Amino acid sequence: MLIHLSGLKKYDRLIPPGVLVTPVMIIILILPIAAPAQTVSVQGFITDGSSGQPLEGANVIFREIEEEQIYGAAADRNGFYNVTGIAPGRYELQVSFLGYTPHTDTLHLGDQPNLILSVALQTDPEQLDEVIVTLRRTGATRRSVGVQRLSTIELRRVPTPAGSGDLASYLLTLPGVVATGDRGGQLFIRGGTPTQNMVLIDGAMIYQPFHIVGFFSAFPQDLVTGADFYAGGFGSRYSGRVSSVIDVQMREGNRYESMGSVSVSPFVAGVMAEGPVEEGVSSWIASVRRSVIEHTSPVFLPEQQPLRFESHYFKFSHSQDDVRCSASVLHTYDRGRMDFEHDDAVQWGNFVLGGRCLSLPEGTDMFREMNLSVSRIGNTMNVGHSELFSNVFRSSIDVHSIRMAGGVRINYGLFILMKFLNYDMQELFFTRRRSDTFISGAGGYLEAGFPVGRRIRIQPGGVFAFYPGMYGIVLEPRLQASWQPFGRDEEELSAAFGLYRQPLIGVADRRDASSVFTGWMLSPIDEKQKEAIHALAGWGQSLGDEFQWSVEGFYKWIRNQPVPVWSTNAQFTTELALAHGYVYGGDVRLDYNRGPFYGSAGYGYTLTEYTSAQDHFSVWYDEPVQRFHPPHDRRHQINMQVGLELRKYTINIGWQMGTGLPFTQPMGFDERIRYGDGLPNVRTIYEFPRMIMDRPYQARMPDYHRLDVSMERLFRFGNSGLRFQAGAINVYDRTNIFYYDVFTHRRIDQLPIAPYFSLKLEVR
Amino acid sequence: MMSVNEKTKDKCENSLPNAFGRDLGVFVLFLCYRKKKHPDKPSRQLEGGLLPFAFCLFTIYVLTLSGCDDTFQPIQENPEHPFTIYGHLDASVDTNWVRVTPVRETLYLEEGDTTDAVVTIEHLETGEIVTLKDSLFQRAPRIFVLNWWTTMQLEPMQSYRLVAKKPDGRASSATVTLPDTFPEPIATAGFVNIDVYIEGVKNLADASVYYLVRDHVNNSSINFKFTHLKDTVRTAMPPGVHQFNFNPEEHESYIDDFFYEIPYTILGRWIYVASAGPEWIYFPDYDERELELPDAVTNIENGAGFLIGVVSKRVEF
Repeated sequence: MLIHLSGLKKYDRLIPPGVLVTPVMIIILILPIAAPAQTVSVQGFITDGSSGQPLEGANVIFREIEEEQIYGAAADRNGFYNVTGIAPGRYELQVSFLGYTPHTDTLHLGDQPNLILSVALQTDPEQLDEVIVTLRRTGATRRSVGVQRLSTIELRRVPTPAGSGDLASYLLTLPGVVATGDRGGQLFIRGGTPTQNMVLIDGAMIYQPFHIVGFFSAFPQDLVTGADFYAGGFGSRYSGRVSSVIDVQMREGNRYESMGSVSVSPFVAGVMAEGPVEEGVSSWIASVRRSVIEHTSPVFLPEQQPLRFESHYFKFSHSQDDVRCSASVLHTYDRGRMDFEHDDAVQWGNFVLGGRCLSLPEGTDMFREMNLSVSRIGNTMNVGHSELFSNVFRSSIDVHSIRMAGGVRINYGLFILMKFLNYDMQELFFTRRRSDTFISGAGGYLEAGFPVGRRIRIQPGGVFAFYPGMYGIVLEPRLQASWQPFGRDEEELSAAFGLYRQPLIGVADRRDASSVFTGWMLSPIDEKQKEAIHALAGWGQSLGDEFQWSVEGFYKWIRNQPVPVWSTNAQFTTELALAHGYVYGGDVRLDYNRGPFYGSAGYGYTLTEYTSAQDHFSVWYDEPVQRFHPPHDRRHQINMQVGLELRKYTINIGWQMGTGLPFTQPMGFDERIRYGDGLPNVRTIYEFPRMIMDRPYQARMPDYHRLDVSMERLFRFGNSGLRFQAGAINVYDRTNIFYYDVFTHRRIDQLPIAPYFSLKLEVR
Repeated sequence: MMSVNEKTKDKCENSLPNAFGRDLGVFVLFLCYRKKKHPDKPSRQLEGGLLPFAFCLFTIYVLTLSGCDDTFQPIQENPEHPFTIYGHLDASVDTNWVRVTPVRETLYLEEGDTTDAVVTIEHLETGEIVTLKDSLFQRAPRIFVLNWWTTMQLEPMQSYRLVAKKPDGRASSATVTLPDTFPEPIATAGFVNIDVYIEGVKNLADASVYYLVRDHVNNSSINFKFTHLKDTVRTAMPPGVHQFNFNPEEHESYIDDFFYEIPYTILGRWIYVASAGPEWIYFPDYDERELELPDAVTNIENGAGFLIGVVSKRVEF
């Protein structure tokens, strides 16, 4: 293992921990945490009365009848709201959400300091059409610095060849999100590698949720209520990853009526069903999806696609009084060959068992969330007669609380986790032999969001974590801030800054970005956790009712990134060294919504550069340290999406373009003969194939671009419906390279033009 | 023969999607042009404003970009390393073999790959030039290597220049000087080990023990080499003498394990010692990563590899 980092001393301490941690903690600790005794605090859940789904964004307003004083709040992604500092008196309560009949009531507040008041709104059929228009007008995605709140409306607008949207397809339309192609299930977000992304499903970790066919994930539109996508700068709630967070909330089953759907397309077939267990109180939802492309591809594509995936999901939800609990289980399986002519196959499977409870403890102004989860990922790859494998078993309990103190929102939480890792990657990484490792840890976080004047809001916080016998106590300061210079939500300048660490790392042979097999091990070498510092700032603005635009810039420092050792050995096996580096760039995005039309366009620029010091660099290049752009350094990306929803028809057109990824361009091949054991007999000696090259990753693949179109028609039969979708992937048949094997000069292309149609039958 | 880069470009230019995209792009350009030509009869869909202009521009851009990209160059130009040369020129043998490999675009030399290289040895003192003959050796199914040989008699203390040249004039070369001859090594049998003393050698290039073994199942012969170069020491008395020892029973035990239950016979055993010329590099001193680099440890001009001149001795025991 080469881990000499002598040339990198200047990065050794990116930030002295005390510089940031101390003032942040002091600020948090001196905050008032008890509400003034003479005021009242009201909190509760706002849900859909028919399905029980939380209504994010619902408005809760208390209007004082005599004084005309108004207090209000909006429900968060859990449907939770909290209004504090209300003066005692008589109030008119109004709870409203577009598409629902407003709920009004008259209350006398002041008898008790903390009141819990949950409301289930009923849908208003007369408002429904208006709602659809209005939602489009406001845009379905909320953006703030580093984070996008994704809704099912957004997912549906990105066509996938399966009759419904999918989180994977949607993410790939975002600037800064890079995939190596339409297979592999690997997402590189703003220069981070796939294993640096934290993906949560109802609070439970899932390691590799994106399927081997790149349009699909374990999160189809039908099962998801929304997702928070943090491309960087995420808050203190999330720890253990250094690049991004995708926090997915899964839908609850309908509590009042049973329904289901069956769908089929040349890519995937699926069945979904849901219904009440106890009417109005508990429900279930189940889904099974399985790819069929392996069987259908010989018919509609030039060659068979040896790719298979499936996912199984079940969720039980129970809601009573002010406690909402759910339990879910998810299983996924992926298997395939990236190089169709080669027998080497990779497969992985996820298993997630999670339980979550949201509660409003009586007599307090507190919201509490508790998650209990068990996650497992298993990766294997067959190389010749050998099998590489890497498994992670993770179990965790985490508790999160929110409470208001005056105008200050305090978030805090604790977690306990344990992980068991076992792997054998000797065939891939010389020095990473078979190993079984157990690690346990605990930690917590504290952050406080408070206003500074009327237009500025800051949220300092910090994470502490402790892994006994491994890393000691670590602190990670975080800070988020926003400024609304014109006093309107639609025009906001926001910024985020934070230190992030990752104890568990995934290593892959990143000599080629299309490498799929990932081995998980403790981070990484010499008990150094992988580290990153994020700094980002952005501006978002609405231009009238139709346009929204946003711009965001970011800079990330990276430390202790495992990279393959540079070697001229022309062989599959590699060694690992450490690199440091940085990523910077910016995104611009424009959204347009007018009547039945919608569209978006985005441009992203990302530059990723690593610095590595390896023993032989002084001999190779006369310098001990080398800088390079890793194979996922896609510099420019453009995404465009336009659509039209006209009565029963929906038309979507999507175009995406990315500049070429770096690859190692050989000057040629020869054999290397060793003299270390004496003179070689060239007639009998075993020689080592060698790749003669200048520097790795100096050349770039051709640019990638693809146009997808789809048209959907809904046929209604009473309460049931049949959705017919027809479209094509890669309409102009661009031959985008997925993978080029420089050893054999075999070129593996992404999907050619792939026309398809899908059917989805929805039954109530 | 067409290079990999040329093949990639050719395949791309003649591909159906490329032609389809270009043609469709031209067609859309034609349609857009027509709309401008008749402003009084605008199309219903593309009437007025920036939208039709943007639509046409985008469509043309997309379609003309379609097909495959013929700028893709899998192989970088290689002006510096036309050949890789390995081996040694030995004044003590009748036939000298060297490995001269044209640096190629594929990982392995495959059957049917031909070389139009010319490899020569020039005796620098006399100016005599001899052309070597090539011989294709099979290493594994579909994997071959190219060796070159000559029966030219080489002499100690003389300099020779080996040149490998391509028809386009690009060439790699190495100049080596053979060392002086030296006395036959002395092997003395002890209680367990055999001690070997080598006198008169400045650059010791090899100190090994060989066993020629007959495999009776496959009817083939195998040379087992046990190297002792790294554990050879220079004695204080007499000064400048290289010495190493070995245990023949350990060697034969290894051979026995190797064949397991396969019947075999040891046909011969000998000690091999080689003295190298002034170009010798003591390779065990170098890190393996450095040795992998084509330009790091080499005496080949305009190429990679290593060639050395030697005088060798073989002592049967």
